[in-house]
Amino acid sequence: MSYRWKVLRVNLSNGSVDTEPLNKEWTEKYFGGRGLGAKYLYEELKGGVEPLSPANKLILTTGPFTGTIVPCSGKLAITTKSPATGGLLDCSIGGHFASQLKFAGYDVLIIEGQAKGPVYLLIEDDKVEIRKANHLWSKGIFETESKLNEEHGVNARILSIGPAGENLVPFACIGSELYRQAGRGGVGSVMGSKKLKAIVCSGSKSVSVPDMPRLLKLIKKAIAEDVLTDTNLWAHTEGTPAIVEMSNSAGTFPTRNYQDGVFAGAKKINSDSIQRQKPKKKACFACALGCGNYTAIKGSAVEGPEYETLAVAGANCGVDDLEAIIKFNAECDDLGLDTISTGNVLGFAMEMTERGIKDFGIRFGDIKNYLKLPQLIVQRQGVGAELSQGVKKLAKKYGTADFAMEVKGLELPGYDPRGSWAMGLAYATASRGGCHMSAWPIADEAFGDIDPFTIEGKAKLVIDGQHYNAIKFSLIVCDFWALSLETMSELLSCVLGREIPVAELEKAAERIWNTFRLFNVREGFKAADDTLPARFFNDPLKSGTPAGRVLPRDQFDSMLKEYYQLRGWDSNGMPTQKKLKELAV
Amino acid sequence: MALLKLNADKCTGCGICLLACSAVKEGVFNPQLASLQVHSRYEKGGLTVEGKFCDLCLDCVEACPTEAITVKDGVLSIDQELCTQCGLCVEACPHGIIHLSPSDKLLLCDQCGGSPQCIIFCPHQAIYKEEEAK
Repeated sequence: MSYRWKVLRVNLSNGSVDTEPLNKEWTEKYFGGRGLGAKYLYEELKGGVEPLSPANKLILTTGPFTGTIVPCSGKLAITTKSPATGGLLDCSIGGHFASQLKFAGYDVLIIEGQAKGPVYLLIEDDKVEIRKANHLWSKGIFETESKLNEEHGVNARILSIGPAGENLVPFACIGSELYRQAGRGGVGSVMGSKKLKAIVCSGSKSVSVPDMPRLLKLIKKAIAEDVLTDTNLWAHTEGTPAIVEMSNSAGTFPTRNYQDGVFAGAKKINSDSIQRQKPKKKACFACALGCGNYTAIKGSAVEGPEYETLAVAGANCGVDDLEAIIKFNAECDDLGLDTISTGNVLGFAMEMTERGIKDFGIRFGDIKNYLKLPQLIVQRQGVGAELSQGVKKLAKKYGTADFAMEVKGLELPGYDPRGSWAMGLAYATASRGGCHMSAWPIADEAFGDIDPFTIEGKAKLVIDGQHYNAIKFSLIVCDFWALSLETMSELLSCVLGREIPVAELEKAAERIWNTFRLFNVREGFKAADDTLPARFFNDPLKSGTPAGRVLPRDQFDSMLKEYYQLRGWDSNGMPTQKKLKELAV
Repeated sequence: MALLKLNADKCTGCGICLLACSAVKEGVFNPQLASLQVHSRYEKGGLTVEGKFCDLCLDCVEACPTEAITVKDGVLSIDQELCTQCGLCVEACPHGIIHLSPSDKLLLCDQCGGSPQCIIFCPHQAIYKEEEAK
C-alpha cells in the first residue's frame, strides 16, 4: 500500500522526536490530507485552546496518492486551529515538500509545543533534528530557502515562514519554493508562535503500490484522456488568471472593496496581459498540468500572480498595474503574507479612508502606498500596526462591520456572491470561514449555466461541492484536475489494494465534512456565525449582469435552512446524534 | 539509437519522468532511483531547468571490473548476472544516474528497449530523442 504507516511527532517544548504507527482505522475513514488532518487535530486538541499557544498543533498530512505517479497529487495539507477564526484551519500547499515527506518515510508530521528560541526542523529519512535558526530569524522566505538549500542541498524541499509569521500576523502564510503558499487563516503565525522558522525535508525511500502495472496503464490513459483535456488544460496554458475575464464578465470580480463587480482595468491584469510577458511554466510534483506562471516584468518577478491576487490585491484595491501587482505579490510571498487577506485588508483601509471614517493614508489605486504597506503591516509600524489585526477586528473597533468583507474572521477571496448566490452559501458554511476552496459553485452558476439569482437547488449544489472537495483534498488531488469519483475510486484501488466503491468515498466525504463541523461546534460556533458581510445583503452591485442585485437576506436564510436540513443538522447548525452515528464519526 | 534530450522550454519539472522510470525499472516510485534526472528549480536570479541523461560517455563501461555493462544497439546494457554490485559504475557516472536499487539491482538507462517510458509519460513532450524534431 502507498502509506508508509508512520507518524513523525516532534515536540518543540521538550525537543522530543518520536515515531508512532499511523492510525489505520482513521486512514480507512478519512484517507489522508485534509480529512485525516482534521481527525487528528479534533482528537488531539482540547476545545478552547489558544491558537498561538504551545497547546496548538500543526498537523502536516500527505495522502494515499502522495509520492506516486497519480497526476496532480503533489500537495500537502496543513491543519491547525486558526488564529484568524478560532476554528478549524486546513491549508494546502503545492510544490515538492509532500512527496519528500513521504519519501523520507512519513505519512504525517505532527508539530507540538513551542521552542525557547528560533529553530528549524531537519528531516533526512530517519535522521530528524531540531536545529537552531537564529541566523535565519527575521529573514524573508526567499533568503531562508536559499540559505537552507545551500546547507542541505538543492534536493531538500522547504516550508518556511517570513517575518509575518514570526511577528504573529493573523494572515501570515507558510511558503515553499519561494512562490507557493499554505496561505490562509494565519497558518504561518502558528508556526511563528512555535518559533519554528522552517522545515527542511529530503527523502530517499521508495513508495510502493500493490498493483503497479494496473496503475501505470491507468495513469498513461488518464494523463492523455482525462487530465490534458479541454476541461483542465486551461490550468496549463493560462493558469488561474484565466478566471479574470470570466469573473469580470459575470460581474463577480471584487472591485474597490466589493463596491462593484466589474473592474474597468480588468484587461490590463487579465490572462492575455500575463501571457504577453511569456511566463515560464512550473509544476508541482507529479502534476501533469503545471499551472505556475513564472512572470517577470522589468526587475520584478513572481510565480503568479494567481487569480485571487489579481482580484483581491488588484481590482479590489483599484490597482490595474500588472507590474505593481507582481511587485506586491513577490513582496508578500517573501514576507510570508497571504495576498488574499492582505489585499482585502488594504481594500478595507482604502474605503475607510475615502469615506472619511479613519485616515489610513491610502486610497484606491494608490500604488505607492499599496507597495509600502505589506512591510509596515509585518513590522507593525505606522498604520500597519492597526491593519495587521485583520479586517474583522478593525471593523469592530470602528463599527464598520457592514463593509468588512470577511466571514468568521477570514477575509474573503475573489468572488462576489451577489452575482452567484450559492457562492454566498459556500462562504457562509465553509469551516475555515471566507474560503473558496471548500466549494466553488460559481463555476456552475455565474461561470456556468445555472441561474445564479435563485436559491432553488443551491443548498444541494453547495453540499455536493463541499463533499467532492473534502474527499479529493483528502486523497490528495489538486483542485485543477476535475476527476470523477469513479476515477478516484479506481486509482485508490490500485494504490491501496482493496476495492473502494464510490459509495464509500461519498460517505467518507460527508464524514469528513461533519468532523470539520464538530471541531467548530466545540469552539462555540453557531448558526449565527454562518453568515455574510451585510454589504452582500444590502448594497446592490452596480455593473454588469448582476447590476442592481443583492443576495436578499431572506433568500439567504432559506438557503441556509435548507442546507442544515439536507445535512441532517439541527436549526443551530449542529450535527445531530443520528447523523453522527450514521456516519460513524 | 539516439540520445535522450530535454527541451527545457516545455519542461515543467513535474518529475513524472522520474516516477515512470523507477516504476518501470524497479517497480517502485522513487525519483532518486531514476536513470535520468530532470529538475526545475528557482535558483539565484530565476527559474532553471536541467536534464541529465545518459550521453554514452562510457565511463561506467570502463569502470566496470566484470564487463557487466556493455553497449548494445547504441544504448547501455547491463547483465545483472555478471554484475557484482560493487558500485564502481555508480561512482563513475558523471551525471549521477546509475543506481544500485534497494533490491541490489543495477539501474541504468537502456532506453527501455526502444520505447523510453520517460518520453511516453512526459505530459508535455519535453523529452525527445536527439534525431527527432523538437
